Amino acid sequence: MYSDTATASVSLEDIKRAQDRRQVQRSRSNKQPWSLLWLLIGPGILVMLGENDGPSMISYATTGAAYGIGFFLPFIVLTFAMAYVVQEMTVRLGAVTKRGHAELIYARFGTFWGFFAMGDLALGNLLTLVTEFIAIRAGLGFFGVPPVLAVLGALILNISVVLSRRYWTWERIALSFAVFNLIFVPVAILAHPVASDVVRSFFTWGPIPGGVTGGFVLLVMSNIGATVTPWMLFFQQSAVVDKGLTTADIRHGRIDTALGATIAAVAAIATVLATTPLFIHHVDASSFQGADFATALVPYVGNIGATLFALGLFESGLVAALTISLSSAYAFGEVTGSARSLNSPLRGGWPFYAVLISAAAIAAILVLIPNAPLVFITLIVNVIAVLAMPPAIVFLLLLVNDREIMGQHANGRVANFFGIGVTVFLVLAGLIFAVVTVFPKLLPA
Amino acid sequence: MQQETHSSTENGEPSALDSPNSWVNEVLEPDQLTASKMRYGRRKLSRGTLILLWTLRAYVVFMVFIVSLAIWNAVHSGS
Repeated sequence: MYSDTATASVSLEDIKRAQDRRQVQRSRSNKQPWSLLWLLIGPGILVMLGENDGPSMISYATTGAAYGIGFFLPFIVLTFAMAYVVQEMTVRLGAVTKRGHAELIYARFGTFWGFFAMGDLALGNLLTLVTEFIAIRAGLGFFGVPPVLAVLGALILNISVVLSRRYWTWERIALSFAVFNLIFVPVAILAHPVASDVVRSFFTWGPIPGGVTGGFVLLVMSNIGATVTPWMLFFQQSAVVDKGLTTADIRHGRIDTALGATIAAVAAIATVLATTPLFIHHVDASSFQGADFATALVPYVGNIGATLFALGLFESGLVAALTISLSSAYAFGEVTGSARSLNSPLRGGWPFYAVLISAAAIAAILVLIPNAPLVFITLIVNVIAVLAMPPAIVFLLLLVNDREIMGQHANGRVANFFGIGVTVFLVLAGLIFAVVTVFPKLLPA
Repeated sequence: MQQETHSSTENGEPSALDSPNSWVNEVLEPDQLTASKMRYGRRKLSRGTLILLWTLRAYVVFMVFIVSLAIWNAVHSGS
């Protein structure tokens, strides 16, 4: 899969990546495990915390307000376990093949199937990016920041981080934002959840107040869509390649992904706990949008708690905007055979940067259009994510089982068991949602 | 892909013009170099795989219809 490297010239992108890899090799040879871990984490944490985006955090907030402490706490853990199963495969794929997800799909399956995969990604990413800027607008709107200022400010921040033209720099800045997803933890503490109820819910998977209703099914779908979405596959695999990970780094890639799933699950559960007071006090949050939760929580978590909640909403939208727009740019570069790295210079890599910035800019503009159907988009985006996942996972499973490209790192039986299990679960969830939608009287309202 | 060499150094690394390949080629694996990366070939999809892919595509189309129906119902029921 490579030409004669003795005479191959190196690009600026190669040099930047080699500088990063040199640090990794030094840490490895000097047996510095913590330094090595620090250098190698990134794609896994970013993909998981990027998926704790605006609509996801609103979904978790709605869950807490509607169902309190119960079924959804262990269910969230299950969804992040599923996310780990799926994302771990992208780490192996990227580290072994040194190719991004889009590039592999087009190369191995051809333009026809690649077009479908890209179509799902493009539509999903556009809708999701719109909801991220909605969250940014809502979060900063709590502080009285005008929508135009909030949205444009976030867009400028996105552009600034990207124009560092260094993957390492972008990654570290994004990580520093992403860790603020844990801002929901102090809000949860301020909500004073009953610890014994929390522990009991993990053992009993209950209660489910009101029983299994159409609303319950919709929220289950929304929670699933809050943890597994197609852009995650494309982002993490391409980020692994951009970061320069190799087969020697697969173990750390797994640790990175597990760490991300754990942190994201903690933040998600914290968000559910944070809005549980609304459930306890019978506050109807069914029509709440982002900042409404922060306002409604003031009597129960105080102004500080509400402020932290609003900041968390802003952070969730911002990090997701960074990662999702990058996943679009990666896919574009890989499919067109052009630049596909944050290490690319501006001159040669301008299409990559143009797509990245345009993806975010289009979403930002849509959010500012008066009377745009933003509520509609927010409602459907997580559900659409669940529906688009089965085809995406099947492509992933086909690739990761392809011994021609994966060699000894292809899936074993255990990985296939869990991977197929996740796919079947997602298809069943979608079909149940379909049945409940077409026959609403099957379940109580 | 257009190649750009770099003449200035960062972090004290040797100039790429002085030794353009030596240290970079030592650090990166061959398939990580942008100039030497070649494309994977097409794989033949089995009949079963094609049926699975088309079934999932039909599933997505069907579910888009279902989601649209759900939103229509939600909007017109006022919820």
